Amino acid sequence: MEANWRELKKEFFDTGYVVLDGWIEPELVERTVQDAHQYGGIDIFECESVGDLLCHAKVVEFIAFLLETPEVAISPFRFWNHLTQGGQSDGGGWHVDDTYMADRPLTEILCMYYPQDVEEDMGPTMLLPGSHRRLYTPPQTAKLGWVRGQQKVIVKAGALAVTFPSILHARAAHLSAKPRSMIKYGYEIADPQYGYYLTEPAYRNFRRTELGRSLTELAEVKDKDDALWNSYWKSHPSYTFQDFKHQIGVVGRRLRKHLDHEQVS
Amino acid sequence: MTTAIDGWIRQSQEKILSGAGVTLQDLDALRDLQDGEQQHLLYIWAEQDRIDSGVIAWNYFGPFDSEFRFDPKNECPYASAAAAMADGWRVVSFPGVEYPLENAHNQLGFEFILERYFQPGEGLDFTPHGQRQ
Repeated sequence: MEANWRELKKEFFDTGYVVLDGWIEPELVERTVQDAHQYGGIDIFECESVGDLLCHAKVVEFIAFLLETPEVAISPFRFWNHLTQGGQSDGGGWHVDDTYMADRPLTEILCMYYPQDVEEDMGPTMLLPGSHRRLYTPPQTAKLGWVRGQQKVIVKAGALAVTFPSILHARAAHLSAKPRSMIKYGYEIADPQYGYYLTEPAYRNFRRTELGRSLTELAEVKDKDDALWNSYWKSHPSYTFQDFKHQIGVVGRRLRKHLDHEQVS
Repeated sequence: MTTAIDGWIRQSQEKILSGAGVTLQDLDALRDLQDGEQQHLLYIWAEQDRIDSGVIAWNYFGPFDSEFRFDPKNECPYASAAAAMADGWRVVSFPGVEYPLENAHNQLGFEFILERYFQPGEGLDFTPHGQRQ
Protein backbone atom coordinates (compact mmCIF):
# COMPACT_ATOMS: atom_id res chain seq x y z
CA MET A 1 0.00 0.00 0.00
CA GLU A 2 1.37 3.40 -0.95
CA ALA A 3 1.48 6.39 1.34
CA ASN A 4 -1.45 8.32 -0.16
CA TRP A 5 -3.88 5.42 -0.53
CA ARG A 6 -5.70 6.20 2.68
CA GLU A 7 -6.31 9.75 1.45
CA LEU A 8 -7.49 8.41 -1.90
CA LYS A 9 -9.82 6.00 -0.13
CA LYS A 10 -11.31 8.83 1.94
CA GLU A 11 -11.80 10.88 -1.22
CA PHE A 12 -13.42 7.89 -2.90
CA PHE A 13 -15.91 7.32 -0.10
CA ASP A 14 -16.62 11.02 0.43
CA THR A 15 -17.13 12.03 -3.19
CA GLY A 16 -18.00 8.70 -4.80
CA TYR A 17 -14.99 8.65 -7.08
CA VAL A 18 -11.28 9.21 -7.40
CA VAL A 19 -9.28 9.81 -10.59
CA LEU A 20 -5.98 7.94 -10.82
CA ASP A 21 -3.55 9.85 -13.04
CA GLY A 22 -0.27 8.37 -14.17
CA TRP A 23 -0.92 4.89 -12.81
CA ILE A 24 -0.99 3.22 -16.22
CA GLU A 25 2.38 2.95 -17.93
CA PRO A 26 2.78 4.99 -21.18
CA GLU A 27 3.45 1.85 -23.21
CA LEU A 28 0.13 0.33 -22.09
CA VAL A 29 -1.70 3.61 -22.63
CA GLU A 30 -0.40 3.67 -26.19
CA ARG A 31 -1.56 0.12 -26.85
CA THR A 32 -4.99 0.72 -25.34
CA VAL A 33 -5.62 3.83 -27.40
CA GLN A 34 -4.78 1.99 -30.62
CA ASP A 35 -7.34 -0.69 -29.81
CA ALA A 36 -9.92 1.57 -28.17
CA HIS A 37 -10.27 3.74 -31.26
CA GLN A 38 -10.79 0.66 -33.40
CA TYR A 39 -13.01 -1.68 -31.38
CA GLY A 40 -16.17 -0.29 -29.81
CA GLY A 41 -18.59 -1.93 -27.42
CA ILE A 42 -17.87 -5.25 -25.80
CA ASP A 43 -15.32 -6.32 -28.44
CA ILE A 44 -12.64 -4.27 -26.74
CA PHE A 45 -12.40 -6.85 -23.96
CA GLU A 46 -11.01 -9.34 -26.44
CA CYS A 47 -7.99 -7.07 -27.04
CA GLU A 48 -4.76 -7.96 -25.26
CA SER A 49 -4.13 -4.34 -24.27
CA VAL A 50 -7.41 -4.14 -22.37
CA GLY A 51 -6.78 -7.54 -20.82
CA ASP A 52 -3.54 -6.08 -19.49
CA LEU A 53 -5.39 -2.99 -18.31
CA LEU A 54 -7.96 -4.91 -16.27
CA CYS A 55 -5.21 -7.08 -14.81
CA HIS A 56 -2.99 -4.13 -13.87
CA ALA A 57 -1.44 -5.29 -10.62
CA LYS A 58 -1.25 -1.93 -8.86
CA VAL A 59 -4.80 -0.97 -9.79
CA VAL A 60 -6.16 -4.34 -8.70
CA GLU A 61 -4.29 -3.99 -5.39
CA PHE A 62 -5.89 -0.56 -4.91
CA ILE A 63 -9.33 -1.95 -5.73
CA ALA A 64 -8.80 -4.69 -3.15
CA PHE A 65 -7.84 -1.97 -0.66
CA LEU A 66 -11.06 -0.07 -1.39
CA LEU A 67 -13.25 -3.17 -1.20
CA GLU A 68 -11.35 -4.40 1.86
CA THR A 69 -10.95 -7.90 0.51
CA PRO A 70 -8.14 -9.97 -0.98
CA GLU A 71 -10.71 -11.72 -3.17
CA VAL A 72 -11.34 -9.46 -6.15
CA ALA A 73 -13.09 -10.54 -9.33
CA ILE A 74 -13.53 -8.80 -12.64
CA SER A 75 -17.19 -7.84 -12.81
CA PRO A 76 -18.92 -7.65 -16.18
CA PHE A 77 -20.79 -4.68 -14.84
CA ARG A 78 -21.34 -2.36 -17.80
CA PHE A 79 -18.45 -3.76 -19.85
CA TRP A 80 -18.37 -1.38 -22.80
CA ASN A 81 -16.10 0.82 -24.86
CA HIS A 82 -18.00 4.09 -25.26
CA LEU A 83 -16.38 5.28 -28.48
CA THR A 84 -17.63 8.41 -30.21
CA GLN A 85 -16.06 9.90 -33.29
CA GLY A 86 -16.95 13.45 -32.43
CA GLY A 87 -18.75 16.28 -34.14
CA GLN A 88 -22.08 14.51 -34.03
CA SER A 89 -22.66 13.12 -30.57
CA ASP A 90 -25.20 14.93 -28.45
CA GLY A 91 -24.09 13.43 -25.18
CA GLY A 92 -26.31 11.62 -22.73
CA GLY A 93 -28.36 12.61 -19.75
CA TRP A 94 -27.77 12.15 -16.07
CA HIS A 95 -28.20 8.61 -14.80
CA VAL A 96 -26.84 6.02 -12.40
CA ASP A 97 -25.69 2.59 -13.49
CA ASP A 98 -26.72 0.89 -10.29
CA THR A 99 -28.79 2.03 -7.36
CA TYR A 100 -26.96 2.35 -4.10
CA MET A 101 -28.19 -0.05 -1.49
CA ALA A 102 -28.11 2.03 1.64
CA ASP A 103 -28.29 -0.97 3.91
CA ARG A 104 -25.47 -2.90 2.26
CA PRO A 105 -21.70 -2.51 2.23
CA LEU A 106 -19.96 -1.64 -1.00
CA THR A 107 -19.25 -4.78 -3.02
CA GLU A 108 -18.66 -3.39 -6.50
CA ILE A 109 -16.56 -0.72 -8.12
CA LEU A 110 -17.09 0.86 -11.50
CA CYS A 111 -14.10 2.01 -13.55
CA MET A 112 -13.98 4.52 -16.39
CA TYR A 113 -10.71 4.50 -18.33
CA TYR A 114 -9.70 7.19 -20.82
CA PRO A 115 -7.04 5.97 -23.29
CA GLN A 116 -6.64 9.43 -24.87
CA ASP A 117 -6.71 12.96 -23.55
CA VAL A 118 -10.24 14.18 -22.90
CA GLU A 119 -10.71 17.88 -23.49
CA GLU A 120 -13.70 20.08 -22.67
CA ASP A 121 -15.30 19.59 -26.10
CA MET A 122 -14.59 15.87 -26.43
CA GLY A 123 -17.66 14.61 -24.61
CA PRO A 124 -16.19 14.40 -21.13
CA THR A 125 -17.91 12.30 -18.51
CA MET A 126 -19.75 14.42 -15.96
CA LEU A 127 -19.90 13.30 -12.36
CA LEU A 128 -21.74 14.69 -9.36
CA PRO A 129 -19.51 14.38 -6.30
CA GLY A 130 -21.35 13.04 -3.28
CA SER A 131 -24.25 11.68 -5.31
CA HIS A 132 -23.37 8.04 -4.74
CA ARG A 133 -25.31 7.55 -1.53
CA ARG A 134 -28.76 8.37 -2.73
CA LEU A 135 -31.53 6.23 -4.18
CA TYR A 136 -32.36 7.63 -7.59
CA THR A 137 -34.89 6.65 -10.16
CA PRO A 138 -34.43 7.25 -13.87
CA PRO A 139 -37.54 9.48 -14.01
CA GLN A 140 -35.87 11.72 -11.43
CA THR A 141 -32.47 11.90 -13.03
CA ALA A 142 -33.54 12.04 -16.67
CA LYS A 143 -34.99 15.52 -16.25
CA LEU A 144 -31.89 17.05 -14.71
CA GLY A 145 -29.91 19.68 -16.57
CA TRP A 146 -27.36 21.80 -14.73
CA VAL A 147 -26.60 20.51 -11.23
CA ARG A 148 -24.68 22.44 -8.60
CA GLY A 149 -21.27 20.90 -7.97
CA GLN A 150 -21.17 18.92 -11.22
CA GLN A 151 -17.68 18.07 -12.47
CA LYS A 152 -16.37 17.34 -15.95
CA VAL A 153 -13.74 14.63 -16.08
CA ILE A 154 -11.12 16.40 -18.20
CA VAL A 155 -8.03 14.23 -18.06
CA LYS A 156 -4.82 13.15 -19.72
CA ALA A 157 -4.50 9.86 -21.61
CA GLY A 158 -4.33 6.89 -19.27
CA ALA A 159 -6.45 8.39 -16.49
CA LEU A 160 -8.71 5.98 -14.64
CA ALA A 161 -11.77 7.15 -12.75
CA VAL A 162 -12.63 4.67 -10.00
CA THR A 163 -16.23 5.22 -8.92
CA PHE A 164 -19.16 3.92 -6.92
CA PRO A 165 -21.55 2.20 -9.37
CA SER A 166 -24.23 4.42 -7.89
CA ILE A 167 -22.62 7.75 -8.78
CA LEU A 168 -24.74 10.13 -10.82
CA HIS A 169 -23.06 10.71 -14.17
CA ALA A 170 -23.63 11.86 -17.73
CA ARG A 171 -21.73 12.45 -20.95
CA ALA A 172 -21.45 15.96 -22.30
CA ALA A 173 -21.80 16.67 -26.01
CA HIS A 174 -18.85 15.68 -28.17
CA LEU A 175 -18.22 18.58 -30.52
CA SER A 176 -14.54 18.11 -31.28
CA ALA A 177 -13.50 16.08 -34.33
CA LYS A 178 -11.12 14.04 -32.17
CA PRO A 179 -12.37 10.54 -31.31
CA ARG A 180 -13.04 9.82 -27.67
CA SER A 181 -13.11 6.46 -25.97
CA MET A 182 -14.14 5.68 -22.43
CA ILE A 183 -13.78 2.05 -21.48
CA LYS A 184 -16.15 1.12 -18.72
CA TYR A 185 -15.65 -1.99 -16.61
CA GLY A 186 -15.82 -3.14 -13.04
CA TYR A 187 -14.53 -5.17 -10.16
CA GLU A 188 -16.37 -6.80 -7.30
CA ILE A 189 -15.78 -8.88 -4.22
CA ALA A 190 -15.47 -12.42 -5.54
CA ASP A 191 -18.47 -14.47 -4.47
CA PRO A 192 -19.16 -17.98 -5.79
CA GLN A 193 -22.89 -17.25 -6.00
CA TYR A 194 -22.22 -14.42 -8.46
CA GLY A 195 -20.67 -15.88 -11.58
CA TYR A 196 -20.67 -14.09 -14.90
CA TYR A 197 -20.15 -14.64 -18.60
CA LEU A 198 -17.33 -13.77 -20.98
CA THR A 199 -16.86 -14.55 -24.63
CA GLU A 200 -14.29 -17.22 -25.38
CA PRO A 201 -11.70 -14.73 -26.75
CA ALA A 202 -12.19 -12.42 -23.75
CA TYR A 203 -11.92 -15.35 -21.35
CA ARG A 204 -8.63 -16.47 -22.94
CA ASN A 205 -7.44 -12.87 -23.01
CA PHE A 206 -7.91 -12.37 -19.29
CA ARG A 207 -6.46 -15.71 -18.30
CA ARG A 208 -3.01 -15.19 -19.79
CA THR A 209 -1.57 -14.28 -16.40
CA GLU A 210 -1.83 -15.60 -12.87
CA LEU A 211 -3.59 -12.43 -11.73
CA GLY A 212 -5.99 -12.64 -14.67
CA ARG A 213 -6.84 -16.25 -13.83
CA SER A 214 -7.52 -15.21 -10.26
CA LEU A 215 -9.74 -12.30 -11.32
CA THR A 216 -11.79 -14.52 -13.66
CA GLU A 217 -12.05 -17.61 -11.50
CA LEU A 218 -15.85 -17.35 -11.44
CA ALA A 219 -16.29 -16.56 -15.15
CA GLU A 220 -18.08 -18.82 -17.60
CA VAL A 221 -17.70 -18.82 -21.37
CA LYS A 222 -20.85 -17.87 -23.26
CA ASP A 223 -21.64 -16.38 -26.63
CA LYS A 224 -21.58 -12.64 -27.18
CA ASP A 225 -25.32 -12.13 -26.67
CA ASP A 226 -25.23 -13.78 -23.27
CA ALA A 227 -22.01 -12.02 -22.30
CA LEU A 228 -23.50 -8.71 -23.29
CA TRP A 229 -27.07 -8.92 -22.07
CA ASN A 230 -27.25 -11.61 -19.44
CA SER A 231 -23.93 -11.71 -17.72
CA TYR A 232 -24.66 -9.31 -14.92
CA TRP A 233 -28.42 -9.50 -14.75
CA LYS A 234 -28.71 -13.26 -14.50
CA SER A 235 -26.06 -13.48 -11.84
CA HIS A 236 -26.98 -10.51 -9.69
CA PRO A 237 -30.77 -10.67 -9.55
CA SER A 238 -31.10 -8.79 -6.31
CA TYR A 239 -28.79 -5.91 -7.06
CA THR A 240 -29.63 -4.51 -10.43
CA PHE A 241 -30.72 -1.40 -12.18
CA GLN A 242 -33.48 -3.29 -13.92
CA ASP A 243 -35.56 -3.82 -10.82
CA PHE A 244 -34.48 -0.69 -9.02
CA LYS A 245 -38.03 0.23 -8.08
CA HIS A 246 -38.39 -3.03 -6.26
CA GLN A 247 -35.04 -2.45 -4.60
CA ILE A 248 -35.95 1.02 -3.46
CA GLY A 249 -39.13 -0.38 -2.01
CA VAL A 250 -37.27 -3.09 -0.15
CA VAL A 251 -34.61 -0.77 1.18
CA GLY A 252 -37.16 1.89 2.01
CA ARG A 253 -39.23 -0.53 4.07
CA ARG A 254 -36.14 -1.73 5.91
CA LEU A 255 -35.01 1.77 6.68
CA ARG A 256 -38.43 2.95 7.75
CA LYS A 257 -38.23 0.48 10.60
CA HIS A 258 -35.70 2.85 12.11
CA LEU A 259 -38.21 5.66 12.30
CA ASP A 260 -39.71 6.04 15.76
CA HIS A 261 -43.30 6.35 14.72
CA GLU A 262 -43.17 3.17 12.67
CA GLN A 263 -41.47 1.00 15.21
CA VAL A 264 -43.54 -1.88 16.46
CA SER A 265 -44.29 -1.36 20.11
CA MET B 1 -38.84 39.48 -19.49
CA THR B 2 -41.25 41.32 -21.82
CA THR B 3 -43.69 39.26 -23.88
CA ALA B 4 -45.80 40.09 -26.92
CA ILE B 5 -48.86 40.37 -24.68
CA ASP B 6 -46.97 42.80 -22.43
CA GLY B 7 -46.33 44.83 -25.58
CA TRP B 8 -50.01 44.71 -26.56
CA ILE B 9 -51.03 45.97 -23.12
CA ARG B 10 -48.49 48.80 -23.25
CA GLN B 11 -49.68 49.88 -26.70
CA SER B 12 -53.30 49.70 -25.60
CA GLN B 13 -52.57 51.83 -22.56
CA GLU B 14 -50.96 54.42 -24.81
CA LYS B 15 -53.99 54.34 -27.13
CA ILE B 16 -56.38 54.81 -24.23
CA LEU B 17 -54.31 57.62 -22.77
CA SER B 18 -54.17 59.34 -26.16
CA GLY B 19 -57.94 59.07 -26.48
CA ALA B 20 -57.87 56.74 -29.47
CA GLY B 21 -59.07 53.78 -27.43
CA VAL B 22 -58.84 50.07 -28.09
CA THR B 23 -60.53 48.76 -31.23
CA LEU B 24 -62.18 45.46 -32.08
CA GLN B 25 -59.18 44.73 -34.30
CA ASP B 26 -56.91 45.25 -31.30
CA LEU B 27 -58.92 42.69 -29.33
CA ASP B 28 -58.72 40.25 -32.25
CA ALA B 29 -54.97 40.75 -32.23
CA LEU B 30 -54.91 39.99 -28.50
CA ARG B 31 -56.94 36.78 -29.07
CA ASP B 32 -54.47 35.72 -31.76
CA LEU B 33 -51.64 36.28 -29.34
CA GLN B 34 -53.38 34.18 -26.69
CA ASP B 35 -54.20 31.41 -29.15
CA GLY B 36 -50.58 31.23 -30.24
CA GLU B 37 -49.19 30.85 -26.76
CA GLN B 38 -47.15 27.80 -25.93
CA GLN B 39 -46.44 26.30 -22.55
CA HIS B 40 -42.88 26.32 -21.23
CA LEU B 41 -41.83 24.35 -18.16
CA LEU B 42 -39.11 25.33 -15.74
CA TYR B 43 -37.85 22.66 -13.36
CA ILE B 44 -36.14 23.87 -10.22
CA TRP B 45 -34.72 21.52 -7.63
CA ALA B 46 -34.37 23.52 -4.45
CA GLU B 47 -32.46 23.00 -1.22
CA GLN B 48 -35.66 22.89 0.82
CA ASP B 49 -39.36 22.56 0.07
CA ARG B 50 -39.74 26.32 0.29
CA ILE B 51 -40.14 28.54 -2.72
CA ASP B 52 -37.44 30.91 -1.49
CA SER B 53 -34.72 28.32 -1.00
CA GLY B 54 -31.68 28.14 -3.24
CA VAL B 55 -31.39 26.26 -6.52
CA ILE B 56 -29.53 22.94 -6.58
CA ALA B 57 -30.40 22.00 -10.15
CA TRP B 58 -32.59 23.19 -13.01
CA ASN B 59 -33.78 22.41 -16.49
CA TYR B 60 -36.01 24.09 -19.04
CA PHE B 61 -38.46 22.42 -21.43
CA GLY B 62 -40.82 23.72 -24.08
CA PRO B 63 -41.62 23.54 -27.78
CA PHE B 64 -37.93 23.58 -28.57
CA ASP B 65 -35.08 21.12 -28.38
CA SER B 66 -34.11 21.50 -24.73
CA GLU B 67 -31.11 19.22 -24.80
CA PHE B 68 -30.02 19.52 -28.39
CA ARG B 69 -26.46 19.19 -27.19
CA PHE B 70 -26.37 17.85 -23.68
CA ASP B 71 -23.75 19.98 -22.04
CA PRO B 72 -25.18 21.51 -18.87
CA LYS B 73 -23.10 24.58 -18.12
CA ASN B 74 -25.51 27.44 -17.53
CA GLU B 75 -26.71 28.15 -14.04
CA CYS B 76 -30.37 28.87 -13.43
CA PRO B 77 -31.35 32.47 -14.28
CA TYR B 78 -33.39 32.57 -11.07
CA ALA B 79 -32.01 32.27 -7.55
CA SER B 80 -35.13 30.44 -6.35
CA ALA B 81 -38.61 29.38 -7.37
CA ALA B 82 -39.86 32.58 -5.75
CA ALA B 83 -37.65 34.67 -8.04
CA ALA B 84 -39.07 32.84 -11.05
CA MET B 85 -42.60 33.48 -9.76
CA ALA B 86 -41.79 37.17 -9.49
CA ASP B 87 -40.93 37.07 -13.19
CA GLY B 88 -44.29 35.59 -14.13
CA TRP B 89 -43.78 31.85 -13.75
CA ARG B 90 -46.50 29.88 -11.94
CA VAL B 91 -45.86 26.81 -9.83
CA VAL B 92 -47.84 23.86 -11.19
CA SER B 93 -46.23 21.11 -9.13
CA PHE B 94 -44.86 21.26 -5.62
CA PRO B 95 -42.33 18.84 -4.15
CA GLY B 96 -43.82 15.61 -2.88
CA VAL B 97 -43.22 14.53 0.67
CA GLU B 98 -40.02 12.56 0.68
CA TYR B 99 -39.60 9.81 3.19
CA PRO B 100 -36.34 10.35 5.06
CA LEU B 101 -34.18 7.40 4.16
CA GLU B 102 -31.20 6.75 6.34
CA ASN B 103 -27.95 7.64 4.66
CA ALA B 104 -29.72 8.91 1.56
CA HIS B 105 -29.87 12.67 1.66
CA ASN B 106 -31.69 15.00 -0.67
CA GLN B 107 -28.88 15.45 -3.14
CA LEU B 108 -31.24 16.36 -5.94
CA GLY B 109 -33.31 18.71 -3.87
CA PHE B 110 -37.02 19.41 -3.88
CA GLU B 111 -38.65 19.53 -7.28
CA PHE B 112 -40.74 22.55 -8.25
CA ILE B 113 -42.27 22.61 -11.71
CA LEU B 114 -43.25 26.04 -12.99
CA GLU B 115 -45.06 26.99 -16.16
CA ARG B 116 -45.36 30.10 -18.22
CA TYR B 117 -46.96 30.74 -21.60
CA PHE B 118 -45.06 32.43 -24.39
CA GLN B 119 -45.50 33.34 -28.02
CA PRO B 120 -43.44 31.22 -30.43
CA GLY B 121 -39.84 32.30 -30.14
CA GLU B 122 -40.28 33.89 -26.75
CA GLY B 123 -39.07 32.56 -23.42
CA LEU B 124 -35.78 32.26 -21.61
CA ASP B 125 -32.84 32.90 -23.91
CA PHE B 126 -30.95 29.86 -22.79
CA THR B 127 -31.31 26.35 -21.40
CA PRO B 128 -28.74 24.72 -19.12
CA HIS B 129 -27.03 23.54 -22.30
CA GLY B 130 -26.68 26.74 -24.28
CA GLN B 131 -28.73 29.18 -26.33
CA ARG B 132 -32.31 28.06 -26.89
CA GLN B 133 -32.69 26.45 -30.34
